[in-house]
Amino acid sequence: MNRVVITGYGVVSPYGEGASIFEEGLFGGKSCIRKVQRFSTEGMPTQIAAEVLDVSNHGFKDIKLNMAVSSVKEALKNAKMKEYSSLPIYIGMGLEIFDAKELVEFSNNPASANVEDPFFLHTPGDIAIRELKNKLGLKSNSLILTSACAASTDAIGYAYRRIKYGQIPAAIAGGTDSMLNLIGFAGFNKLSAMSKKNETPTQASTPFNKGRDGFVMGEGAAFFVIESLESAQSHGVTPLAEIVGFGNSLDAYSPSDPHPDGSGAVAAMQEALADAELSPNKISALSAHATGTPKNDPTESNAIRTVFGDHAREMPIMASKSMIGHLISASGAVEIAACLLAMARQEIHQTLNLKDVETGCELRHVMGQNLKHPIKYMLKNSFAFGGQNSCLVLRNGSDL
Amino acid sequence: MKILAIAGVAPFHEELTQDKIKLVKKDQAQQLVAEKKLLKFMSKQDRLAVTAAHLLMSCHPLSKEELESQTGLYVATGYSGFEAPALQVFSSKSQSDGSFNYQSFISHTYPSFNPLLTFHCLPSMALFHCSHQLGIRKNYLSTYPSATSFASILEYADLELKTRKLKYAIVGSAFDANNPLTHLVLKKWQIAPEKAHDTSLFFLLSLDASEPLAEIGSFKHQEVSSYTHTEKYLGVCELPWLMAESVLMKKSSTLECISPDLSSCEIQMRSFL
Repeated sequence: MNRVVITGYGVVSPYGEGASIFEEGLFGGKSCIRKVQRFSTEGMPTQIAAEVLDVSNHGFKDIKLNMAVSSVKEALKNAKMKEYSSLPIYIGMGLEIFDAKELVEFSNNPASANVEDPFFLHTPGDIAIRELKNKLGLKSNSLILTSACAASTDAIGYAYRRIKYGQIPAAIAGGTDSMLNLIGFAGFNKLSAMSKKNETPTQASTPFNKGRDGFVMGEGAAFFVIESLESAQSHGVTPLAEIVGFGNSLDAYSPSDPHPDGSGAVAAMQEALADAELSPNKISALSAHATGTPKNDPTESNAIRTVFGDHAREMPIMASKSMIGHLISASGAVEIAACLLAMARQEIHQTLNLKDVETGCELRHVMGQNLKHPIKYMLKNSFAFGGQNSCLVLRNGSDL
Repeated sequence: MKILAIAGVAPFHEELTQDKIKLVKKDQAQQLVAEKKLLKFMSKQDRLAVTAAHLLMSCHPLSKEELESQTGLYVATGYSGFEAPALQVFSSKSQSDGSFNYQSFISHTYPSFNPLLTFHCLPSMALFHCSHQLGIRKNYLSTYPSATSFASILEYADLELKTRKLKYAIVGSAFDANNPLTHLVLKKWQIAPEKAHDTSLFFLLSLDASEPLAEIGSFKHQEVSSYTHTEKYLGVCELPWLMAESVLMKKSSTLECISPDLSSCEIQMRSFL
């Protein structure tokens, strides 16, 4: 079995493009939630989101692909990868969505669809992968993971397991997603899952807090260069972190709600810890899924207490969605980037807007200001619509 | 890795029921959904997947305990199942003078927007419905939309069986060939819509079996320079049907599939029928 390390990563977040901008915003306690600017939301119950307003144009109409190219390039540069064309790429990615204007044009005149233009709609997966690989100069195997909000954590876990068991030496893995288009946003509005605090957008995402009324939609991407320790050493790069455990599970309960007893989340966390050969009290901090919805937060809190017992009182919780919103398929990857920053800084960022902890959500929350804290191991939770639970255990790379 | 059972909705084959293999025609798909109250959440693709999963369990029943704690679920689907009538309503109610108009959208379309459409379009919902209907709660992977995606999850299931505490893996695929998005993509690849077929196919796999139907050997992935589709287009189900036909024809063979993303996969198969 191989030891598996992360040697580079790149991020496009609602703060902008690049890991340093992400770090500055997130650890500076800055919310990037505001009124939606890309399209009109007049008349919809929710009119706020965490948009990416500034990303390089790599020639794609679909922002998911532009964000993916920027973050993969940053990851490859940081990993000091000179020859990377043979690296496979595994992507947690959201579904394709029709552009409203194009849909009307297409419906009125079906012959008008320019199918030779790969951008005739928000890009279907196989076309997206083909275009991404062409743009990035990749000539290897690829896979799209579609487990919704767990997809990019699953993509990283998939890469980790394939490297650990010697199937491949290295891979690019992560996620990119944007549902911030009229049809996607209207669909989520109709599900009544999003916060309606339109007048106070920076205070709208309130994981674990009393009075929370739903998640705030965001968009972004994060990708990682993941390789065996041997591969990393062969090209002289210092690992940023080691991936030591991965587990996933199914709730098999509801299309939209988590299992009320949290048993699926418990099983995924326990499997990740067993894979890492760690007892729960070895985990220094936990990055929670923490959507800010009425049902998810207490269920996750209960699951964390079940897995960690008394240690849950000591182990600080990081809830990045309080500032960047919910990046759907990309949320796991971007929040894993936040974990790498937390481990490098030995600091857990505050959960913005958390002032009055909801009954049932009692954990060691970081409120009001960041917490300096020694972090050796960190666990990341990602839980999805449809009951997919995905958990990853990371080890700080400073002593590798 | 051994194939213990095969089941699904046949694209153009006749019905077939024999020991450990069950193939039904498309018009039976909906009747095989066990929990009717969830039907409204299902797209056609989801129903195709659930039907195949139920048929698989009728071929080779597993106990509740085996399904819940010893079985992994790995599902590949086709493109999102956008439904033509819903898109037509959206389009007709959201325009003015032949173009999209926001006021028309917010006044006429949004109030009647069916929230269930979001569930119908999510590619992970086939995974959810199969897990819920069968009670599978262990490891999973969900992917889309190409034939090589299926090859990848098949290979991953092999790794999971060897390295997780799993006794069985259910690996399946479902493809909705007749929706607007699929038709647009087919047009891009210059495939006539009538050459594409709704279908699903699921396999029950294990490392050990006393009387397996077949054995899956090595996997080989590579890139190719061009994509040419097969005569009968089955999308993400193309490789599963090659596998099923290889088993039924009692052949040992190397199966190859190529996807529009210019990736290809070869797998070795040996039939024991």
